[in-house]
Amino acid sequence: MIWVIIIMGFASGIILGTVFKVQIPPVYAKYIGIALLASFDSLLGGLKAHFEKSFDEWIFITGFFFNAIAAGIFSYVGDRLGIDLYIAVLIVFGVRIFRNLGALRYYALKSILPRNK
Amino acid sequence: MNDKSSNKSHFPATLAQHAIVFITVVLVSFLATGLFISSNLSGSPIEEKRALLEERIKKTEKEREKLKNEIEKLREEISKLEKKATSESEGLKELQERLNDLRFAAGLTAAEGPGVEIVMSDGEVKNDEIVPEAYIVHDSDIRAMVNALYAAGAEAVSINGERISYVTAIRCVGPTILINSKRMSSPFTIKAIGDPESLERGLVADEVAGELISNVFPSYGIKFEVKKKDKVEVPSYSGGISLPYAEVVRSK
Repeated sequence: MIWVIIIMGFASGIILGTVFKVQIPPVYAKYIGIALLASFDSLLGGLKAHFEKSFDEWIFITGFFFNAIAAGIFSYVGDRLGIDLYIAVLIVFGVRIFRNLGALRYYALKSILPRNK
Repeated sequence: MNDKSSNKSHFPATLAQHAIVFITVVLVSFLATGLFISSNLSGSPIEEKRALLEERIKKTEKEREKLKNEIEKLREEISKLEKKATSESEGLKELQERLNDLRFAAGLTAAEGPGVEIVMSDGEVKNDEIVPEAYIVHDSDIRAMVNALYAAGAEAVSINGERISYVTAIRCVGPTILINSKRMSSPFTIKAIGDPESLERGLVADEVAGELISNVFPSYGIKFEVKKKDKVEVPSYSGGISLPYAEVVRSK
């Protein structure tokens, strides 16, 4: 079920994006990219929590928006100050994404291969 | 993972949770698609900057067009109010007439009368060895025509609907020509009010314009046409008219 929702979500997001031809102004493209990275991490985190049966919608939704906005603001402020703060955000969320992916792989394997149970 | 097993083995999936997941996934993929499309359009940061500037220019131009229309409307309103205010007194009426005459002379009203219509358009590049700039109509060509027209007694001149006023410059901006802060490109239609015969003669007789017409334009394929007309309409000048530095000289 959760997979159906995720796939449907991705499909409709991509279709909506293509149909409406969202134009993101180049100035904001970077910050939105960073924010997306953070929210993608939140999505993976949510999925992981789903498998750990500890998914909480409030934790998920606040984390999703808070992380995205904070990441965007962080890199914006960094640019204003002349510090590449976005690299910090990139590394933190990059590492987290891979860690979440690893955990997801673990759960996926566990559910596919019963002998590991 | 099918429904029942996932419901049993995982958290009890409520509708709200599904909705939240769905909405966030849509949001993420929507924005990601947007980023993808946008980054496909503009590659390097320089191009991005250029696109940004272009956008700003277009926006400003639109805004200026709107303000120009407003100016025209307000000017019309002013003259209407003036007419109303001066209709009672003879002396004021006279002043009003004088004011209108001066406005007309300054090019703040549309004018019509006999004259000529010139159409100039870029030629096609025939010879690769010659710079392509040689085949297009330049600001200097238009200046030469306008100058020759005034020299031949033109009373009102407009280019592509832009009236030549006392503060109008004709200049080249990149690939376009800027007149009254409006960008325009080939073809150019120059309308001039005056004696059609002498205007036409004046163009050919003018040193610069004549040389362009008889030698330069034909050899580069630039199209040039003069038509004598019984009635030519020249629009009013709709730009700003404030002169912040100049003052009236009051001599005794």
